[in-house]
Amino acid sequence: MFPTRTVCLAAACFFTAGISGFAAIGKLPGNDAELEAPVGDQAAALELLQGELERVAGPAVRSLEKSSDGSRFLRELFSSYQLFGDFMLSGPLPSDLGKSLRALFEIWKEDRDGLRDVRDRSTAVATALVFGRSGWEPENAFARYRFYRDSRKQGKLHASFEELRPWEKRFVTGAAHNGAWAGPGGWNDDSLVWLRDHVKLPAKDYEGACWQAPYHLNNMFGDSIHGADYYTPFSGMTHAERVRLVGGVCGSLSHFGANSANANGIPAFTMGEPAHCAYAVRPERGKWIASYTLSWKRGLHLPPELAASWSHLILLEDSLADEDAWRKSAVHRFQALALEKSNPTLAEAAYRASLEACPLNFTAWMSAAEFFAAHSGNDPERWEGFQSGVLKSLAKYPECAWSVISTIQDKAFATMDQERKLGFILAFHRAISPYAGPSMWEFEKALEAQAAAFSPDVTAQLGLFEKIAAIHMASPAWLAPSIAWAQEKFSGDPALVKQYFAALGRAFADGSGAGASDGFRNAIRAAILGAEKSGDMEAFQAIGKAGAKFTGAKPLDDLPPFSGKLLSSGGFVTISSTSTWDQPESHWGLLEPQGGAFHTDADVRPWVIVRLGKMGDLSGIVLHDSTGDGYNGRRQVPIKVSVSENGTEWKEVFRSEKQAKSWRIPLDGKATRVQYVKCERDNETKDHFHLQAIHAYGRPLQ
Amino acid sequence: MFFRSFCICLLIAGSATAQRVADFPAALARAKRENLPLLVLFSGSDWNTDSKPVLDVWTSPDWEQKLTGKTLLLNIDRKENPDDAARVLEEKNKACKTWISTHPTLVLYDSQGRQAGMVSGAPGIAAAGGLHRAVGGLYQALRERDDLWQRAEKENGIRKAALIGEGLDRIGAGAGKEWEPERQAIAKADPKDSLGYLAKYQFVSREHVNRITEAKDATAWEVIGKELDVLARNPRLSASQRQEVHAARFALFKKWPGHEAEARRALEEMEKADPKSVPGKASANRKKMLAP
Repeated sequence: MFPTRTVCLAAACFFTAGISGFAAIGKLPGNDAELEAPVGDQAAALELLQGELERVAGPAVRSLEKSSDGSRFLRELFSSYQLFGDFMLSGPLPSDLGKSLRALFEIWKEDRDGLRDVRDRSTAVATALVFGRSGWEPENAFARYRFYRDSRKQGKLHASFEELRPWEKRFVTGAAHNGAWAGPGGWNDDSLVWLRDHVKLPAKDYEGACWQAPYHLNNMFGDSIHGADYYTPFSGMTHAERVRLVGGVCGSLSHFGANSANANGIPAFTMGEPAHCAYAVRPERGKWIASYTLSWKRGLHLPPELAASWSHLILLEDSLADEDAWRKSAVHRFQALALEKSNPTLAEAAYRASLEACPLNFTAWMSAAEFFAAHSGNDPERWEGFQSGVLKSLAKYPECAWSVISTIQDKAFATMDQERKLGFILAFHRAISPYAGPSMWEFEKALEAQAAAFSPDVTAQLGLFEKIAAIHMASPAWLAPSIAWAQEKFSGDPALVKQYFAALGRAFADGSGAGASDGFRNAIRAAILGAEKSGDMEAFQAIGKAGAKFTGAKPLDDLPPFSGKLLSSGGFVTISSTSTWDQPESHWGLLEPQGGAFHTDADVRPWVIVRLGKMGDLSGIVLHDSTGDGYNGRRQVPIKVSVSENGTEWKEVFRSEKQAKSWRIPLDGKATRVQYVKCERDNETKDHFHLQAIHAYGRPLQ
Repeated sequence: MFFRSFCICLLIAGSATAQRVADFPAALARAKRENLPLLVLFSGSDWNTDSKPVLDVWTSPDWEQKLTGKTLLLNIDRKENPDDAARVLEEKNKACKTWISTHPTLVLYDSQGRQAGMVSGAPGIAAAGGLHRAVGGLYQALRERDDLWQRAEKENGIRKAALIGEGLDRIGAGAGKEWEPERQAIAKADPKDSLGYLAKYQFVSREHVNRITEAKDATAWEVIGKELDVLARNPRLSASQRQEVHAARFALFKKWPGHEAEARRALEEMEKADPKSVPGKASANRKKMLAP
């Protein structure tokens, strides 16, 4: 944790003078011992929660006080630790808690008695918290609550819904974006009823539920989905039903998948990816599965305070694995927020208590960072101490660690000389280097922000890069994106390119006395293999293109294509092993018209797996083996080709015992929804394996 | 009337000739060996309440007693929390590749393991009149198919092709690769496909409309138009296939300058094929969207 600060201010009332009614309660803790009071004492906890509600949603409380129903509701809420505790302590609070309070009031008005049942109460709280989102009207909250309440009572939801905690139900009751998606008659509660009754699957099967709706760019009348006429003729049914009947593209299909899970009580949500829509399903506690996904670049269709990215989602899940600890942490955070102005010393102690209770509480870290930025002054050691605390807790979630550190970086750097800044940045990279994190993220943006804050001088930035690259040299996750960033930043400037090559050469010199260009090639090779190992398609593409100019690959013989598009282009390669003869800079070309190469070590059943640039229905695959008519052509046979949608379940589509310079594999109708192609030698011989082209053609499904 | 009598025949206690089998591979092997149909219930006993009423009947000791006619019964229970034995069973049942969109679902397979009927979900079973009637309906269709095919064995030429085709129609089958033997038999009996069954089973949904969206000139449009005209005259097409052909014709004529009237007529033909169906109503709606 960050060091303490000796500022001592007198304890003060929770609330400023002049506020009446429900607000006029509660005393702030006056010392460290009193910080523990609300943790073990429900009455103290209720006071604290009431104070926090007042702090962030005072006007909504005032508004409810004006009606007799509202007053009664508030009295009941403030006296029920079960209801109020669930409302305030079920994960990060929505940005407009006042709206959530009104939504809870709407539910309470209609089903006051029902809220005594813990299962319905948790549904009510989750629904109310969801209705704090922008565009969700509190007046509609009861209808959404009623759907889940009645569906549960009728036994129409998946049995696991019964066990979900309120924070988990927030990923359920947010179904269908409250009808806001696909316009009037789009995904609404009627669709949920239909999906609930017609798409009942074991939880993990919702991962594939999107494919119940066929992928059709045009409807049966030839109307494009990008126009207004695609669904219009199909009236008199729910949108869910017509999506399954008429079809759609990634957006409709992913909403069908996510909403069918939600409608049956399974947590799920949609996500935006570049030129694509995917979705995520949570078949069991602690396990999120990205479905119909084509890229790690995901914008989750969730409010940012809940999860701003996939890494933040996994962190939230991990932090709430011990919900008692998370709640304790949240309580201390509320204390800290209340004390910030009146007693910063005690506020800092409260933040410390919060983060000791739950070191993975991201919301607490962000609040602490804001507090720290406002109160830490000019002592660089304090900033370093704070970063050290962040990294100790969050290094396994590098993106989340950066989210916190980036909020204090500028203020911290204002207190530091260049050497100290360098140490601050490198400490971050040393801490995250061993961990890939829950998913890839825009690491390049972090590098850019660090470089810009470090120095406006690009030569100094290049020096920084060299040191960062040296740290990540052995890191499969971070080497490739580091080089991809540097490639983009430094290689385009003729004045810098030599220095850039020299920097890479020094970082990757193999000790043989070879020159900078060899060092650069070493760097590119290491980066490409790193990108392949970590599944970083974007870095593979960026570095692969850059590396292609260093390849000695000969242009391919003419390979007649199959119909459709070259779906392999823009994709990604992994091989079972590399070898002395392998030139990773040639891997990228394997999937492109010009061809490339890979060369495994001597393995039993060596393989190459291609993740296609675009998922699709394949019309055919073309493989090229330049040694096919020579002695080494025997290494490739018997060759087996398989296809897969998810990279784990494979379907064999071709096998040949005969050497050949090229294999043409027609696949019309035999390989639908393919995202991966695997080529392997299918026997027990231990030998090398190499090809010069893997071209997959067909109709894209994205 | 025939349906009702068959149900009574099927469901009133008779000799216990329905037999439960342990797993899908064993069921399939036995179905092939003993030339028996196989009825599979896909359920989820520990998570899906909709499966419960069906499972209550299915697992009752007298369920197989109520089914007359030799058949095999298998419950593929997709559990969320399987014990070791259930996990072993689940692995074995992965051999069943039938795509299930919801639970509970009933699937009837013929003795070759080919899908000969499906009733999906609690709403589907309810719409069929409940479990007994749903099962009765599946067996009735299969029995009718078998009767037609028995008769086909004694026939030759067009008559034989017609009976095989009618049999396939009874169970809503004929298009998948598993029906290749029947398609070959039809091709042999009716080499010119004068009845139109082969064209029916080779009909690829959306193929024409996809080609139309990619076609760029009148030459290509003309080729597709002629193919659609031939298909539109095929009396064997199902109503939904026929509607799809007319929808594709509409897509073609809408794109083809000077053919607006034919586009409108295509929609009218589409509606006429089955006015109460979803595509029938959609064609009426699509017509309203045209400029007057």
